[in-house]
Amino acid sequence: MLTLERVEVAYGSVRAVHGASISVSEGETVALIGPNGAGKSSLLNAIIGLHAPSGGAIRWRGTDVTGWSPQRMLRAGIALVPEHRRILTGLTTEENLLVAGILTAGRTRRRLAAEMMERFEVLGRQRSTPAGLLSGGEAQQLAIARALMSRPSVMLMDEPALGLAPLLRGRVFDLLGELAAAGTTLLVVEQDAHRLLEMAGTAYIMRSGDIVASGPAGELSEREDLFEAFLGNGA
Amino acid sequence: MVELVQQLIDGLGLGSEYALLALGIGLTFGVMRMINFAHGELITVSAYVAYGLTLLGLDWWALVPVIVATSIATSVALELVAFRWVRGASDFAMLLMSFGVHFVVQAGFVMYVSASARAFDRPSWINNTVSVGGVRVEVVDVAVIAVTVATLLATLAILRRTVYGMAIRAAAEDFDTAQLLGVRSNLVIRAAFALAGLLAGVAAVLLLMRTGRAVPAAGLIPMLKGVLAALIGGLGRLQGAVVGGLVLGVVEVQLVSRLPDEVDGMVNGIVFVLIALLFIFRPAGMLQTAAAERV
Repeated sequence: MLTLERVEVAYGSVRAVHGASISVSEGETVALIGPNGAGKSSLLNAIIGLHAPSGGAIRWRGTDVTGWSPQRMLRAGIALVPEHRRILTGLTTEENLLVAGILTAGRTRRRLAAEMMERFEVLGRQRSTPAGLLSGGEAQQLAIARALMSRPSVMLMDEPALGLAPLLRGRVFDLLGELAAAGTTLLVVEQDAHRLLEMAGTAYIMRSGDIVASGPAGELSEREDLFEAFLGNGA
Repeated sequence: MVELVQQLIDGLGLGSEYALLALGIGLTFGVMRMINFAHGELITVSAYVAYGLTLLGLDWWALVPVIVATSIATSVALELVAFRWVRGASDFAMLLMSFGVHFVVQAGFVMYVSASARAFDRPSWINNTVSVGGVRVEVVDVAVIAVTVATLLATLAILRRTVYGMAIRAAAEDFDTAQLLGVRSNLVIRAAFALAGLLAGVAAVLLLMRTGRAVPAAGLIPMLKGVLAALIGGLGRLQGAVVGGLVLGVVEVQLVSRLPDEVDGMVNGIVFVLIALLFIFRPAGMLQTAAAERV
């Protein structure tokens, strides 16, 4: 359903991604792993339209969506949970959710925000709290809830567990599991490769802007040679 | 004491106008990171439209909505024809564009209308005074403060209660993230310019009520004061713009009343120096905090 064909991303003369091809099927969880600077976040930003690809094509359900704006991608059913959460700290928890529902009609927007605050209880308890005061785990839940406000078919998640304590990382992975079980298609970038590969169906390994390996996540997770060569021992 | 209260009311009246302008400048700065030095032209254009309509016999009260609508339309039009093209460009490019617009509009009125002032009738009650507890207050000051408070509260309600207001605040904090959430950049920037135009329109009504004349440089000093007020409060901070405007108004009135008559003309210069001193000690403005809420 979501396919990337030799997508290239460049920042001026610096090429961050050199022709990445990825395929994500409906309902699948796909892992995109690799060391820092591999180009993973650049690729997600190119898909969502924050940074137009310099080459290649992105197709969504057969339509060429290369270079579409984030708004069009959201309308099409693709949402991004960005790296470092990027919570709007000057807005309250509820306001973050309402802004994330700006593409939906007013009544639906308020109902969706109420649903999110019920689903993520901690957000409901802090609906009027300036989002800048939320803890890391709470902020991550808000970032995920915001993405869900557009009722996406595909969620792109950029390091959802980054910077969280082990217990909270576990909670985030549980949440990813719940989303996957509910049928949401996930394309996840994460440093904790082993944990992600446990839940993913397919995995791609990126290094220095290239996809260097891909295949069923279960098989890749047993390839210690790949981890040694491309991800380092700590992955 | 009575004199001090009177000066305070005068200062708040003057500062209210500055606050309206500062808030508009802060709003557009928030979404574009550009200090709009053409903001005063909204007043200039509105003043000439008002003057033209008075020639046709339009009553002052009928002018009020026209002035506000003109300011909003001008603000949105300037964004469309000028500022959109430098969006995302360097600060310097945006600064030059805003100065360019300021000079083009001003020169346009000098060349095609007149370099001299065009006067028109003001409301008859403008110079009336009322006495409250021994304090003589000009009706215009009361009107200015009341209108400003109502406008600021309405603006606050728009920014806090409507999703488009929240989107403006979101874009002011982090434009990319706002876009990621579905906020359309064109829409939010246009909304910010429209709101800034509304605020400038109200300020224009209050200003023209006092001066009753259209001149090509009508918006220059108000714009400078608006920028100063926005800087005093910390650019992009909602409360800061309002506080900055009020402080600037009160300080100006105090300076005018306390300085000898022969140095009256130096008030603006002294205000600039005082603000420079403020920035030495508080570089982010008066309301400097660790994580101040932005517009």
